[in-house]
Amino acid sequence: MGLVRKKSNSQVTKMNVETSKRESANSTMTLEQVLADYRQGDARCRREKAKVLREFSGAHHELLALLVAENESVVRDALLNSLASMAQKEPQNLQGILVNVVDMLRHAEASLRTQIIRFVTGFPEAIGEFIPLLLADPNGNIRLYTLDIMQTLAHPKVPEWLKRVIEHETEANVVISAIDRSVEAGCRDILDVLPGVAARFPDVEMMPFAIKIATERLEGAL
Amino acid sequence: MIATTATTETVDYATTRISDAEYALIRDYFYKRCGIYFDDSKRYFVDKRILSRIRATGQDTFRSYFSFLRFEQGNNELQHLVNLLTVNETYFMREEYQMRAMVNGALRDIVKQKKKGDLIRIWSLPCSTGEEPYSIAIYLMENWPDLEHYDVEVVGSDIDTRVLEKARKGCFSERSVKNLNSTQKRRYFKHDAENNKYQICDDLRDSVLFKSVNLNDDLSMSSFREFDLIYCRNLLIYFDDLSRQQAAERIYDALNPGGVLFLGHSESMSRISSLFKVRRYQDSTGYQKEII
Repeated sequence: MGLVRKKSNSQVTKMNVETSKRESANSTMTLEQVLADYRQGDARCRREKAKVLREFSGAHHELLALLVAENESVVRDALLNSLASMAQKEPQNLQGILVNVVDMLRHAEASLRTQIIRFVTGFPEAIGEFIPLLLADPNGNIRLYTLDIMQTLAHPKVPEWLKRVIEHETEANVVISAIDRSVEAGCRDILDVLPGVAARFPDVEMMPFAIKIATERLEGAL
Repeated sequence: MIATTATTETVDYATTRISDAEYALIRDYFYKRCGIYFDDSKRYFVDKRILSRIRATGQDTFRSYFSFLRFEQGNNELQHLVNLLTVNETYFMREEYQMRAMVNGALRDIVKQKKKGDLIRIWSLPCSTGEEPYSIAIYLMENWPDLEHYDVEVVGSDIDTRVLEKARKGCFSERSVKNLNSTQKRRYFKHDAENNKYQICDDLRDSVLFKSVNLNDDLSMSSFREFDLIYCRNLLIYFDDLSRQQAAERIYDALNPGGVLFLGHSESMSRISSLFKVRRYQDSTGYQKEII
């Protein structure tokens, strides 16, 4: 026992026979066969099949359907990576993928929500087209999740969107979240609209405090 | 007062000094995007590089530079900053506390799923000129008594075949071995005094295998499987968001169930992927592939 000494680099890449056979079999399966295996398999099998699905052109509909029903986080991760891979290979499908993935925010539990937000921020330009609609969504939670998307989104309109939320949003917790995001992003442009915000929420004790802290940080920082 | 006009004063101020609040702003953003956290001890290092980027990008103030960095599509400036704020150097026993975490934490987890005589596979990626995988081999020999009960295979990989060739030759500079004590240098190297080079001994050289790999390529990665421990330090920070998520998935697939990943000391997987379970070891954080 001890450190293994090898004479040849060829031994590095050995896979066990089972893994090798499985991967070879995957490459010859039809879409229907992969889906059937996915539906019958355990999490490990489903994850493997989720990755195989990215090789099937146009299979994003199937991937989206599986994502809605999947409970295992590690499998969802593979499904989302397959969707990302397909969106890169078939950009014409990106918008359709984003429409469906974003819609899942409505009923997603916290860990799926985190995965979705991580997924969509990988496509900053494309998701940017959805932001105004999401910020106008009647569901306040969706508006809050949209602010989470904007937290690291590399898009030039983020400061403008944040400012608009602070000026027009009707729910206090969404406004406070937008103020926080603006401070994180160094959006000093909100300083001219902050003074008028507290009057819109006279019963929200937290609001003047949030505005004061934000003003101090933005004026101090920048 | 340095300048005579308000405009000049602003420019002088902005291009020569970063305030505490500005530092906090960019530090937090950098952490969110790259998973790298700079504490206050790195302040001088970070400030200097940010100031240089403010000048290089033609921005007048920290504020305008930060807006440019934060909202630029394509993240080219973020990549410039990553390149400047990360140190591409390698030497033996760099960040030795992660070696301690391997022996005192990760390997204890890993051997729970093994029986005596089993094979344990360790992968260093990217390994550059080989200092890290050779350090792993040395550290195991000197600090892990259980080595006598298991076969351990150490593999080093990099995308750059030129550095792999150097790694295979195993000839190192004085600087590369600076963290090794004199006994280690004597035991594992032959010193070429004339050229001040250290040639690694044949036994050790034969204990590490080097093989090129491209972490961004499924096909290239598909033949790397069944590792129990992977060191992937300071590599993912160079990838964009999507590539980083895909690379995390490929690393996950290269691990055995229960296997552990170590990232660079200030990197974090939590911003990249939900695939791994965080394991807090005494000296470091590991990311474990759960057994599903």
